[in-house]
Amino acid sequence: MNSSFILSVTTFVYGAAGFIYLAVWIFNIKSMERLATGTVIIGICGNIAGLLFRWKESYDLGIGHAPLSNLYESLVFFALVIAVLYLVLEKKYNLKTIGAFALPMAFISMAYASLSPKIGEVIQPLLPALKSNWLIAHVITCFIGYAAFALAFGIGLMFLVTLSEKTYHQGLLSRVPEKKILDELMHKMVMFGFLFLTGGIISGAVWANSAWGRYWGWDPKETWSLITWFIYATLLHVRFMKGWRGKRIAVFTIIGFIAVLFTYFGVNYLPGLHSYGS
Amino acid sequence: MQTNNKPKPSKNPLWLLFTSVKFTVTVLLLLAITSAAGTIIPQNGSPENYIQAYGKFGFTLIQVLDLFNMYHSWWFRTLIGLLIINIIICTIHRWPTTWKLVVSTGFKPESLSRKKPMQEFTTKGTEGNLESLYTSFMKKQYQVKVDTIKDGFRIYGEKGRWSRLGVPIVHFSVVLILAGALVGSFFGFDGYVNIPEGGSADRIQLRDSDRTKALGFEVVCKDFSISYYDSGAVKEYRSALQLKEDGKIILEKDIIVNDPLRYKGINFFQSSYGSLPPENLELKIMSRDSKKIQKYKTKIGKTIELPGNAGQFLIKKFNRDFHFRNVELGQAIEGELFLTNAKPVNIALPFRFPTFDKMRKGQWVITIESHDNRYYTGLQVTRDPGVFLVYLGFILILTGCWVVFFSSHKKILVEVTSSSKNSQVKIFGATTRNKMDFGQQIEKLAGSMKQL
Ligand code: HEM
Repeated sequence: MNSSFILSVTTFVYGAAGFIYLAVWIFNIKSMERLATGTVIIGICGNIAGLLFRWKESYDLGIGHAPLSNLYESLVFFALVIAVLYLVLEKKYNLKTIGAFALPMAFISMAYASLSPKIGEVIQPLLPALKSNWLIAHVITCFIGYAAFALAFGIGLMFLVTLSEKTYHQGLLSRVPEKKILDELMHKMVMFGFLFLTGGIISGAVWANSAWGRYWGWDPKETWSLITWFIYATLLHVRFMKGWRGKRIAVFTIIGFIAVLFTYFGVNYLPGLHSYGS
Repeated sequence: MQTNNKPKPSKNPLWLLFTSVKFTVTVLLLLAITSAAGTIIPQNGSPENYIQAYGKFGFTLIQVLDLFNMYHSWWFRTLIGLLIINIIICTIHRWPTTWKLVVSTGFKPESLSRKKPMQEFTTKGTEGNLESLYTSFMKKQYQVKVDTIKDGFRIYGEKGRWSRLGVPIVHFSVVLILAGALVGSFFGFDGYVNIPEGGSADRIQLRDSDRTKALGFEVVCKDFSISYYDSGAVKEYRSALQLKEDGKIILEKDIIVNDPLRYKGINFFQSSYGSLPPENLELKIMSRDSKKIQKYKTKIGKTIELPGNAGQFLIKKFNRDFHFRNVELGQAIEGELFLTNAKPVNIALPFRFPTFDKMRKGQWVITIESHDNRYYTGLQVTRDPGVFLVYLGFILILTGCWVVFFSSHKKILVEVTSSSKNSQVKIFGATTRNKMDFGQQIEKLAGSMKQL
């Protein structure tokens, strides 16, 4: 048993869970609801076990560090938080259909981590700059924030796909939670995400200050996390002060999540001066 | 949610502008868009690069708008300034209302009972015993006030009034963080210094300027070392530093990345390193014919006499970055070989390839037998008296966001009217946030009350 194996199995468990939720929703198979939830729980256990094994393996290699240090590990952690947050929502509000949007995201994150050739799965030693407890705090807070935004995005998408005015309350769509509930859930996830994104930016700033003596340097990654923060701050204000609800907020969660993805992946593709200077 | 607690609108158009959320949203989005632009247009490049990428006209535009250093440009600072004024005015404007809501004990049951009850049930109990039962139950969670009405009583409960401070705290922290940044940019500095092992410095070079700055004390680098993982990747950069004031040692510390030295508000960070020319060298010279080897202990700048008066070898210099036919070979010693009756030959001795000189196929083969590794440590030196404010802002903004997102001002009214047989219970409620959770809480509350 090694972490790689456990995590690949977990990937498929998440995929299966996504399928079952879709089936529950589309074909209204009530009897499979418990199976769906059970599958998510198995996925979460596998995900946690995978990370723990990886942690141990890094110690066996003599380069022990928390499994939160590179893109691969962050994607695996991202999937875990999505699944856990979703499960909390499901339990708390007794909702099932959202799983059809949430679990595929956990699956994609894991699949991308293990399948993309660009992402090293190998456990590597930490570079000197990464040896900091602030880094761990930074990764954890950022990815909890991102996962909450991912769920807000999923719910927003569900809102836009299913709740356009005319079609509501017909067949499939009757099994979607009410508009008001979706709207509240979206908002909840955005608020939760905003708190953690704020924490993520702050822990990143404190880390930068302890490693390089500056807490802010306008590098593209920092800047994009701030842009994301501005976008969600705007969302909170239009909702609270202008009374925006539902569809408009759903569109906002999608724009916000695009900014999140850009902060996460896109930044690497931005031109640096050297890319045309030579 | 109460709507009757909005502050009165003012007539001053500028005040109106700065208290409007529309303005806030505009500024926030402008900041987002311009910040994004700054990540697409590379910052702090050389003019030639910009001209090459954007043409002459583009370059002029970029120059006029400071786009190559836009995060420090006048217009970007203006945007941030507008946001700050916006937040301050907004907060001042709303403060009296907010504060009144926090401190007032104004129980207003009527504002609640006008709405639809959130829960309703009938119970067997009578007015007399229900009142004390419900009151003591409600007191566990809420601040309550009881009052009698026709045929019954009502209990008014309230909690979390202080949660209304969450939003002003968040807004205040944004101001605090930016104030801290301002203090840092006025009263702080940011520079660097390279100190050779065994050497010292009492001045640093300021970044973004050609000035230097005296530290007021001396920094000695006693030792610099690099350690590696088995894979060859760098594990740690370590500088052993010593601070001296008037020749006396006042502080000694090894710094590594992420663990700086701090003294009198000045911070020293491990940021880079480099190699210095070796102090001592040992060379080996072999005659290709006789295979005889002779070793020499020497230094850069010295000349070696070859065996049998065959000639001399001058050790000219140390090259940190030696290239051979466009291939980078790293550190090397360069010298010149003077043989009798022959033209002088340039010779390079890269550290990484000790037998490099064999390739020349000359009569004399020169190799490096050993050399010492000397480094200088590159320190980032900063002073930022604003950090304290910034960190305070960090703590406050997290606290504020926590309060905003996880707590709310809740009001609840339990109205009980009794007839001879049973009592009718109605529960009304209002909250500032998280209405869905509040609904669940009231449901639970009603459930437990039924059990009482
Ligand atoms: C970076 C800047 C800002 C941030 C991060 C920020 C953050 C927040 C947050 C988190 C909330 C709570 C939203 C909610 O309850 O859903 C809020 C509410 C609010 N913000 Fe801001 N804000 C910023 C700038 C401003 C500015 C410039 C104004 C001035 C008009 C403003 C006015 C308000 C108002 C009036 C509320 C609602 C207060 C209430 O009655 O509860 N905000 N803000």
